[in-house]
Amino acid sequence: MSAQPSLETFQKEILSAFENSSSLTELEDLRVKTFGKQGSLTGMLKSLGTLPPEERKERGQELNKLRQSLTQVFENRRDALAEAEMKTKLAQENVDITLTPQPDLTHGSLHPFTEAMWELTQILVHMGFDVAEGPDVETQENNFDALNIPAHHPARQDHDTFYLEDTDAEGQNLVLRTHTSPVQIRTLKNAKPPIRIIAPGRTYRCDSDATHTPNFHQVEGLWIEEGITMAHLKGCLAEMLRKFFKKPDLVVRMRPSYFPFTEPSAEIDIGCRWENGQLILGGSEDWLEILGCGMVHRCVLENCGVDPKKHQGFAFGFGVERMAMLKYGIPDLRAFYEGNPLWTQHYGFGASHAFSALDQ
Amino acid sequence: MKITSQWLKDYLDTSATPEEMAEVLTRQGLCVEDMENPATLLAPFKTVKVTKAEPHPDADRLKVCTVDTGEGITQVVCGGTNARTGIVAVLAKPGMTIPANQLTMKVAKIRGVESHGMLCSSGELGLGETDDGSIIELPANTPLGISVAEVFGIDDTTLDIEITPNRGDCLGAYGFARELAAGGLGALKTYTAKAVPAKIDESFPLSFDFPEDKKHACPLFTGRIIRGVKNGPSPQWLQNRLKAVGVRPISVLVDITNYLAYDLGRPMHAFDLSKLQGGLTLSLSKGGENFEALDGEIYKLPADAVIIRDEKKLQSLAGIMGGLHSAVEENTTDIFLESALFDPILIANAGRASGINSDSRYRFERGVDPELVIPALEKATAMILELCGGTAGPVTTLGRTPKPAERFAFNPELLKTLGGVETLSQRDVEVILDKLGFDPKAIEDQITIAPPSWRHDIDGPADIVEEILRVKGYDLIPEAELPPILENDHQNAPNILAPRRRQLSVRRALLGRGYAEAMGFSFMSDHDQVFFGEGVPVKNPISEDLNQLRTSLLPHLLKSAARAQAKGTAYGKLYEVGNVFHGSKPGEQSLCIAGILWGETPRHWQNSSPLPYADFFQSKADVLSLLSACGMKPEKVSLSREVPAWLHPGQGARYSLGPKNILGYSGVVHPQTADHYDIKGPVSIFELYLDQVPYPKNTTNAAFDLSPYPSIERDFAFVVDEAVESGKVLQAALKVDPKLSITGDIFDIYTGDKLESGKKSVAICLTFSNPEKTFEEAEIQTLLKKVQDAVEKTTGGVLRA
Repeated sequence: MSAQPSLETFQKEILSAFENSSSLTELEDLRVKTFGKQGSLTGMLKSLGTLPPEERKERGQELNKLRQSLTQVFENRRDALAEAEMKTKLAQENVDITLTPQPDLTHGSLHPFTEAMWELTQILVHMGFDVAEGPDVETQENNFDALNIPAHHPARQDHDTFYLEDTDAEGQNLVLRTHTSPVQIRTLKNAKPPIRIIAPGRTYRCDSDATHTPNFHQVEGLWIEEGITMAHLKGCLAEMLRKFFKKPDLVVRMRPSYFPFTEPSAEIDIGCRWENGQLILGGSEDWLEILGCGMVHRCVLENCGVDPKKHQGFAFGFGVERMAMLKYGIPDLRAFYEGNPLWTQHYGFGASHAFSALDQ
Repeated sequence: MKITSQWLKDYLDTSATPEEMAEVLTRQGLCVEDMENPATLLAPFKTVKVTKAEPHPDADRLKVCTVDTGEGITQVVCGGTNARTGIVAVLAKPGMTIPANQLTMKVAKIRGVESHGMLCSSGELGLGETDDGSIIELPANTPLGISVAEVFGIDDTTLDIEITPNRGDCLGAYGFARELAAGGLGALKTYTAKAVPAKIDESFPLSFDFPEDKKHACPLFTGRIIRGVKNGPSPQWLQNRLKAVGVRPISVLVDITNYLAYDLGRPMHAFDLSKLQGGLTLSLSKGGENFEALDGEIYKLPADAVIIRDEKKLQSLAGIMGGLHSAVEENTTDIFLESALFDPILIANAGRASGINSDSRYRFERGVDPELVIPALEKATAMILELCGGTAGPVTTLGRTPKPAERFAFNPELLKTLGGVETLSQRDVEVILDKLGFDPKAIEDQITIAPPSWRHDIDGPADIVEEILRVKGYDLIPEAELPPILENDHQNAPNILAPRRRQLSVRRALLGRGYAEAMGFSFMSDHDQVFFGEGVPVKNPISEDLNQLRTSLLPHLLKSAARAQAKGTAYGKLYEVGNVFHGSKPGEQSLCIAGILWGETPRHWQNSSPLPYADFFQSKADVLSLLSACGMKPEKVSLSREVPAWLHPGQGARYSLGPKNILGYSGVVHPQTADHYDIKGPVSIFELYLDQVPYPKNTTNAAFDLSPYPSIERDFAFVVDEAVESGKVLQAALKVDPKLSITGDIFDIYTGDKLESGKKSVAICLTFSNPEKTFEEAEIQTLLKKVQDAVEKTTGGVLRA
């Protein structure tokens, strides 16, 4: 009966050792010493077999209880120590969150012109236009004569044309196209109505000052189809402008004008106002001239072998840089062509916003 | 084109304000761009009387004037030569701004004497030019305290109107009046000339000398002699009107002919009769003649310009500018006054070739009203007799007024079918056409019209639609939806769509690679030729810097990078997508993408030395990424060292498909090129010819097919001659078994002590994957042997011990 007190002492000693262990390693040592193959508790359990059967059962129950309680204490202690050690370890792994990450060298930016051109063509393509193209170098025939602008026409002098030294088959100097309208001629000569095209592209004028660059871009539109009237032209352009400027209420005004290649001809203005020298689109307090258009002149159709008695339609053309300046609030045209990366980053579009036409 | 509202009222009975006029004109296609009334500016400048002018105690040229403003007495120090007691002058009070120099008046002490403003000269108020140092001196009976604008009768609004080239009829007040009347702003005062009776029976001999096929050069030439005139400055009202429309008054005779240009839109010319000999003959120039014009310049004439000669010499470039020799002068007493009609095309051609711009040319080019030739001559005669005295001879007429344009039928239905407007009645149409002078006659549902003599731009029913709609206002046109389109109605040509998509793809690729987009002009200079070849020359370049079409996008990028660098942008990436020109014919252009990357990555706490940024391999990575954006497998591209002069010969590559199809170049900029463009530090560039990269035929993806069996990874190191291109080692290894998927890369290049000299070690890591089964050990050994053999065969490399 001498085992009774020693079991209590044993339990106390082990418990105290578990509780006082200061690291997982120390605790692990204790575990092996207690529960391991050579452990003290294991030894006690092993010695059960040496007891007489009547004592064995009672002793066995006592020892089992003891093992359960010691295991519980051990596990609690182990979890506590593990958590404390994790805390200590993580505390040592602190980084200085105020430090900057490496500079991101993958952020490119799209020129605002490209974004504007993309948006405009997307809007028009969604309205039913196909895209057509023509060369930058043109014959005078395509750039002027076929468009009803003969050599002596006053409008021809307004074009500030760049001439090349080289000539066409007729001995006329080739020109850098002054507008995208020659694409109308190329299309009308080769396609059969109905024709619905836009021709985005680069155009040239021998003019350079604060508001002019020697080359710029236009989008030409041409829609030849039975029953097309000026009302379609107005509706088409109003829709395009409202979508582009993302202003469903934009006031669009059509005003008589003159182009040799359209009759009737019109200019489109959009309503705007000025606030502290700042232009704000909307309303109809003031007007901003934005593009030229009209019903294709019968001479143009005739020049391209299209019978004006059977076919009619509209054409329009506008400057893309100007649209971009208005939409994105860019004050200076010349900066478009300066190749300043900081400027592009400022006014341009990163990967997350580029090519966002028709996004709501 | 400028005109004033009062001038318009000479021909328009209206109570409309200038603002209302502007609104109607703009609505009708005559866009009013600006409006200005000088009276607004001059309103505060009022008449005063100098009651006493005494010498300044301290300055000889100054006077101390006591001035009666009508409201009180004030003191002004004045330097005007004519400042004296008793005159009526104009006072600028403290706080007022002088129009000519924008100086604001203040109370000041001038040499110790207080001055409360200034007595103005006409120059200071923009009323005329004086250089004699005198101040404005008004008649003694001028009331005090009234505005100088009122005294000079300049309370008149100038409208600046944009005139489209078809509206030659609106280059005079009369034309605008007709427009406003049609637009409902009052009634037109139809101009009918009163013939001035001849008081002397003297005509100047006139003759035509045109070849048979050029008779149209001058259909009608009229004129008359006026003797005994007195030239001199024009009366104030005439000067005011001319100045208001931007014409400098010269002398009354000249001013009257200029006045008619802006009044009836009729250019005219007055010759000094005493300088003419014999008579006037109209003919065409042969080309090369020297002509001394009245602006003092000598012009070389082109062929087929209409010229006017007397017996001795060339006296006028008809319809464009008179000659200096017979120009009217201050002391001219006898004149021959001309009013004529010239062919617009001949005038335009001669004007363009000679480079002379004049109000006369501007009007003749756009077409003047043939019916006004004689009425204008009569009006000018009457004005001359009234303002200069003298007696007029009879009107001599050569040629005749051309036949009016023929009537044609107009179907009002066109307003709907072309104009899209359904709301106009036939009555509306007739009223508008009548007011515009088209003399409409209704025959059942058709209307026939006669284009008026002043409208040369009307040649068909579409023009009539515009006439009616513009007077009614284009606001009448509704916004209609475009008709729906059937899917197979599209004519999208694949040769246009594919390149457009490609432009999008390559831009997207570079957006993710840190590039900012640039956009250059299509021009370059001789300076760029050095490295980029000769461009197509432009005949009339805007500047020497831009005198030829670009052959490459790189010059602009190099200049942009140099500029950015100079401004302190230490590192960056720029690209452009655009056309370059390889010939001067239409279509000899091709689409390129080019980029430049310069500088080093900034220092950073995580890496003390810069990361790779502007070296060859970055440019190679960009090119491969772009090729893959074009749908091309980079392994199909062959690289060579045959690079243009602008690339570093050892750090540049040519990318091609086979030996012929060159896709582009990339690499480090040649130091001489860098120097040429003033760029410092590491710079790499690339240029890809997007049209040369084939378009992928099949865009659908192969099925995703990842082997379910584990792959194996093995490292190898091969010792090869230093001259062997390392890529060949890898390429040989990757191709050993086409049935397997093999990927890998070079992870180390070593030369040094541990190797024989002239040798290098190329270490590669390969991953083998078999879609069909798990690798067995024996297979692996065979595979490794295969790699070893393949590399040895192609490069002579041996497995490093």
